[in-house]
Amino acid sequence: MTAGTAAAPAKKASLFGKKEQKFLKDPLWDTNPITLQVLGICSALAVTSTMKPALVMCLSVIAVLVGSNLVISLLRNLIPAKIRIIVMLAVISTLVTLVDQLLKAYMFELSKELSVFVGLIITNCIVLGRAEAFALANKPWPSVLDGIGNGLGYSIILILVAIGREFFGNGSLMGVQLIPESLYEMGYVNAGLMILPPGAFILLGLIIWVQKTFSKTVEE
Amino acid sequence: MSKSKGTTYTFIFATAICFVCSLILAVSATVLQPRQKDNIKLDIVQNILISVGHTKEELTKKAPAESFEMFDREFETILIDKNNQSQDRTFMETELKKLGYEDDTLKAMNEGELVSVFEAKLFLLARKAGKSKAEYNPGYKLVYAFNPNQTSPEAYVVPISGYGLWDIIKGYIALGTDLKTVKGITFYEHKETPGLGALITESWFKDQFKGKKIINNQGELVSVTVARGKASDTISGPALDHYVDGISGATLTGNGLNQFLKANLEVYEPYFAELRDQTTQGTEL
Amino acid sequence: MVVELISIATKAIFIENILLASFLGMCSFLAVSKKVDTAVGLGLAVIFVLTVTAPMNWLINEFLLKDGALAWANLPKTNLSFLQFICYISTIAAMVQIVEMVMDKFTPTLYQNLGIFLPLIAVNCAILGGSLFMGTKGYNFVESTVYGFSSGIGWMLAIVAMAAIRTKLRYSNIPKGLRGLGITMLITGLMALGFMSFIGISL
Repeated sequence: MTAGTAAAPAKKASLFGKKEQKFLKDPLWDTNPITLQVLGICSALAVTSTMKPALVMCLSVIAVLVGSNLVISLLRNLIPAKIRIIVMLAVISTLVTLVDQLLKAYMFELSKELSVFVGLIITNCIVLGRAEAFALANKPWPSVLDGIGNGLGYSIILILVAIGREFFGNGSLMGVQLIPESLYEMGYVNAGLMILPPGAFILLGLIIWVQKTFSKTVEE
Repeated sequence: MSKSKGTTYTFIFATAICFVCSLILAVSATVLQPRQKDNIKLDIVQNILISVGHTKEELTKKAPAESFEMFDREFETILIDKNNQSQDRTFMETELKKLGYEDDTLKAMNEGELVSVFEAKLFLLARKAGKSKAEYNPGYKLVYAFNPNQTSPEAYVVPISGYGLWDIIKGYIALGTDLKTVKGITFYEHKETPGLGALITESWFKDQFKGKKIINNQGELVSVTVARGKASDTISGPALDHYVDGISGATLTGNGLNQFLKANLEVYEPYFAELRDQTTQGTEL
Repeated sequence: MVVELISIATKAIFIENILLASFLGMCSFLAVSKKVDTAVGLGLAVIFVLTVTAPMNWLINEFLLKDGALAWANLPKTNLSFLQFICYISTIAAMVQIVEMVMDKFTPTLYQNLGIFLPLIAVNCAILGGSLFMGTKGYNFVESTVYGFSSGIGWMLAIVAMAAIRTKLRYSNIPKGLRGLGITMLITGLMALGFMSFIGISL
């Protein structure tokens, strides 16, 4: 039986009580899915060469995370243990296909840029990881919050990497040229390395360094 | 977690999940498909319009229907087969009807769509006709004649595609009435390195092609070549008509472009040569 | 024909290395690259799964899913490509299950060492990515198999190299905040930089 029904406290769980807030806040920094749980790195690097696709990816991942956590949580008492991984994958695949279809219909240019990486949200370890670790054992509303929290934690890192890559690699943000022409003429050159794969890895490494130095957990 | 369930239950649950997921996806795909197809069609039409000088800003401000209408008004689509004979749509329509396509659906497609559907089903159609794909294939190519004033064409646009550095680059090139001078070039799909090869879509790069010649003084097809660095550093004199400056750091994209541009133009050259002869002989096109 | 296949293989292993250039398969890469022998074991498993799932998914796409695929069943206009993701991931999950059972029977030590990461191959982005990329590149059956196999080799090359480097790193003085994930990321960046020197090789 699920833990929730057994230990029912006298007062009912509030919508945004302390525990609920923790679900939302923790993944933003303390248990950040990318830097600390080491999940979801693949797409974090692939779509962050400029900010626009990164943002679309963030929104898609949050949508899928919330959706899958919600559905899996609602179905948690019905899913037979033996096939639970493939059931979770089926639910996630359906949600991702929906997102992909919507992008192709309403944001065509961006869907071309994201190409197969939208499909790869299915294998984004965060989605399956949270479904398995949380949604299968918790009620729907906390699962939704957990999905939002982890989705936002993922987005923060993605946006940081994208800002670094687009600004230093292209001198722009969201396509808007920020570094003035005059600086280019004085000899400033875009750090092209940032836009290429190695730049992404290095930038992420540096972000992790900063985070780990200021956070409580340290790995050997 | 959940208490242990029997095998029958597992089986029923699995089937139910498959059914529900497939249903949801089938519904969404059917509902969204028309819009998705329109997006693809609009993309192609906009790119052809851009190759003759319309700007992206101008086109994004319009509703899709306006862009389609502008395209129908300003362009005449010519279909030519592998023998450079101009063809009409009847052959493709009759063949596709054999596969179950309906008349109205076929009539609603423009030539570009019809050709792509036809080519996608070539293998099946060839089999139905009892011929090999090579025998059966009429080798259709599209040429878009830009005729905004309904008098005589001012430019001819043909699709170009081929490998850049990472993947296929697709675009259109517009040639003037002499079919030797480039009026414009545009690239609408590519996976080149952002900041390097991807700069082929920048106006400064594309504008260089305007006025360059694909035919040299001896009448041979030399296409336009992207030089390494500044063209004038290594080339001088009338040969400069066939070169443009390269993008620094994107030599390989440039090499790919040179290769496929020439190859694509060679395919159309027999048809262009005929058109040129007709103009010099003063025949109406 | 053979030259084309070698070209596809070289591209998949070096130039467009599925991990160092396309960023796929990072999660298990980061977690399992601590020891060389586990890295080799996982690498071989990935190669096997990729080599089998790429052509299998190609067949599914060709005869069931893509536009006009169902012509043999007299349904030439049906386009089921929206079921691509769900079908691909199912074949991959099934394949991984089989690999797990075989490994459990024949190489139990490796099975133990890999632990949770063996079933995690199913969600290894590289496997699904391989199937999806082969679709966008338009490879045929043989080309897809070669592509799957070579992508696997490329992935294994990266993970084994990383494991070797990390083994040596155990005796280095790394700043506290960089230990573990941080330094691995930086090293991967440098490896990716190294692999970029292969760009432009065309056969």
